Amino acid sequence: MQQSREKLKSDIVEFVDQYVNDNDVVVGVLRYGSHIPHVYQKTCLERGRKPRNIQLVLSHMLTFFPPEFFPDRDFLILDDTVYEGVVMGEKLSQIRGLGASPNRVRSAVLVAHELSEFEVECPKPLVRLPDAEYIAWKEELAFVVRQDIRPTERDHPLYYFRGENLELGQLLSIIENYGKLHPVGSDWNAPVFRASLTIDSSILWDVAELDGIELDKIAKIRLYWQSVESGYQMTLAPIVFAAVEIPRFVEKSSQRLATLLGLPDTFFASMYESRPPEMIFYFVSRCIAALLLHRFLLQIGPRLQMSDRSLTMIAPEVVDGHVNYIFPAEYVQFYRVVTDQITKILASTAQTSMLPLGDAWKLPECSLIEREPGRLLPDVYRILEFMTRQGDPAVWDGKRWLPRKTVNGVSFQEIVGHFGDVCFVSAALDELLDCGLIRARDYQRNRTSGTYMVREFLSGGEYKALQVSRIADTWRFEAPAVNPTLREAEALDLWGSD
Amino acid sequence: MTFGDLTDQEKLLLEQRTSAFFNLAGVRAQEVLGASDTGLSTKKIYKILANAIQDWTWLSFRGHDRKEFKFRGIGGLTWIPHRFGALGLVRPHIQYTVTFHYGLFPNIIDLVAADEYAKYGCVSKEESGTRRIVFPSYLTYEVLRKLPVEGNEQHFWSKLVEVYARLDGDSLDAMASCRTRTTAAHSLWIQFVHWKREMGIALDRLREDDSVLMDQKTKESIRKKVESARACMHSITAKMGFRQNLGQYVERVKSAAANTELSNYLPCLDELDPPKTPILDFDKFVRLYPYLAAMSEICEEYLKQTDILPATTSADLGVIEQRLRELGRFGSIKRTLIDPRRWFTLLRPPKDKNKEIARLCLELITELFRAFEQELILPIARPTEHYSDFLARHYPLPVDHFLPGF
Repeated sequence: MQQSREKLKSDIVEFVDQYVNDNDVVVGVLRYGSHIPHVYQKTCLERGRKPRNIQLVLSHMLTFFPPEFFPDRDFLILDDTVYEGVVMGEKLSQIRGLGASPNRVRSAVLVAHELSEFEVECPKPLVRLPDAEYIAWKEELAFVVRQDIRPTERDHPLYYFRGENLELGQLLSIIENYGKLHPVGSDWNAPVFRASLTIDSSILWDVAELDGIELDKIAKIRLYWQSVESGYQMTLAPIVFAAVEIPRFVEKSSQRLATLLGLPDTFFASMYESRPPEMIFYFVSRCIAALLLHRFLLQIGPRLQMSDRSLTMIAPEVVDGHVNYIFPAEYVQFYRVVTDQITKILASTAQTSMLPLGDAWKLPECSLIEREPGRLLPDVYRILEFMTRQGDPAVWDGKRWLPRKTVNGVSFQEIVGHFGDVCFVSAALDELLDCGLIRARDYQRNRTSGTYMVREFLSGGEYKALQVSRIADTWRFEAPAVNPTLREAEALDLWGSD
Repeated sequence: MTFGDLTDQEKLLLEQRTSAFFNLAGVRAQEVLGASDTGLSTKKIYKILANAIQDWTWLSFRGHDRKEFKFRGIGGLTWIPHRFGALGLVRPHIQYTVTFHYGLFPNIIDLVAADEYAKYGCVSKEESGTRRIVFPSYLTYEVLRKLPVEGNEQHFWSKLVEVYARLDGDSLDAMASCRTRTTAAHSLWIQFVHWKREMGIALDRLREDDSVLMDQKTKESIRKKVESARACMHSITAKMGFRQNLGQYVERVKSAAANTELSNYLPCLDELDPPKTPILDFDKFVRLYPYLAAMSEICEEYLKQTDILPATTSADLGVIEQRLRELGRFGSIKRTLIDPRRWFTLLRPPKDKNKEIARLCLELITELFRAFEQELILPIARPTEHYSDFLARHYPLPVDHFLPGF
């Protein structure tokens, strides 16, 4: 295992050295393509060599850039693998449609599925792997990515911190006062500890009152913790679940939300003129999430100070090193405002008399999901069955199982509507996202009052679609009742007692 | 053999593969035996699996020159030496909701009723006093392609199952338990473990309460323990016989595999290099068996004069003396425990000395097994501990040569 992991990392270094040119703007295709430059950089540093600088754009932000961004640049659309080529095809046509010169756009992947007919420019020749090896390769990459301080999902702004004198357990004990804590993933020995704090969104009561925004009952902050030589490093990714009717929001509440965060009043309105709705939704939901983070830090900052434990923000450039992100101007402005505020919050001196109390926070109301007899799979997988009720994510073409090209997603609210327990749903979604069985996307939907945008969850793609389909099959199966006499007889005759 | 370090996803995939291999085996065996209506007895399934697991593991190890023999692991299907002979059992990876035997193995009846296994269509039933599992008559191509088992794996697994499904009960048992010196030694070791446990529990109960005053239920449970201990003795002689006549069973496998792709390979009689596992000496077990037989007979003589067995008679002092003398030849047994006079004073009236004899029997058993442990350089622990140790340190099949992935 270790050997193949090192080989994979070597392959990535070799690939970047050979195919990424200095003037390329690398479009990192979410999820894993966007991690390749970081894996490259980390591997180079581990092996004592200086990595090259890479300019990186996250693929979900392509449409956020103005038209003048695209001509006169060389783009390299970078993904980890190509299975059928659906995503790569979409990205290529998207960037060309946005104004990139077709002869200055190249596609690149590390490996392809043996049945993929999709042709990429780099590398030549392309390594094609049979199904089992392809899956093993992807799982290895997923493992390597999970070692990173960044979440696998890359469409949430990340806030980096470092500090001293604080053990992980102490931090978790403090933050548990503000929500329901769920460790994520089962690889406890990974260098990065992943957890998620499910928070009752009533702390965002003022946002919930805004016209055009429907805020779900809970929000969350994902946490990625790593112990470093000088103390610890931590990444926080705040997330809210909201449905936003863009025109209504822009007209009635955009100014108020911008003010709440400290952005110019016209921040959303000016975007509305010329940018796609997904961009506005992105900033609305991420602004609300940033507000959540501010309020959370306002609570825990003083508590840390009181016990002489430090927490300071680090600029992303410090963490990103030789990977130079290119963000749209709006993102840069948004991020600067948010981080300035965080820096202020963390720098303010705590007054004992004014120390915020965790008790004032309403904790999410969790209940227990009842286990059905005859079920072997952990309950988190029940979500997959629900998620795929509208259509199996894998389709049988008479020869083999393929991932369905268009899959419907379900919103957080819809999942909670079915299962009832927000904590269970929140934890299960984190778990399933972490292992790649599901994906999340910002998606436009229609209803009688007009279109709105929402965060949706849907089955993982490629071979994960088949795995989701298998699991959903299992959950759909009505487990038969066991004849107790038969069971007892088998136990007695065959096993006796210990 | 530890699954502790796997991620939840990896564990789930292993479980899915286990279920797939289990169902593929059941469907194929049922087809070969024309038993779609009646299904297969649980014993038959266990035995077929125990054999197929061994060959599967070695085939992919040996056939390094043949790409089609490059397999991934076999999920949680595990070769287990058992008091009923070696079995192919499922070791779970995900958190099962069913009860485990020895903390490790789920009851097959529970297993086939659980969604991940039952979704392929297998059900348990009872017919003429035999517990049977009825598998679906076939799996559709669509379902087969959905299994997390590669085409070559499905093909060769079915072939293996087919070969073993054709064998008679003794051949299946002999090949499952005794095809190599190591597996044969394991098969005897587990009998030593069980005999000590079963007879130990029975004697412990008799040491505590007077059998005359016991209720029927307690007597019945002690009787079952004694019967189990007897079955262990019977099994040891059967296994030694299998090993002695292995050639004929090997020929039967070869004959069943003739005219198949696997004819040049089956049965796999390979063994791990000795340095890879602690040495397990079959000959030593065979050499020690007479001492266990002597101990067993002493216990049987004592039991005759309890109210546990149907025909209550007196213990034969001549037999006891002879057996004690035999034990005396096993150098390290304390003389005070095997002095016949001590036994004789307790074995004759009044009957109320029965509790003391039970205590003496237990002491002698403890002493004897301590000597066995020294001789064998192996522990003879309770079954649960034994299996943990077996899986962690003594598993006799290679497990680290499979293709990566689940």
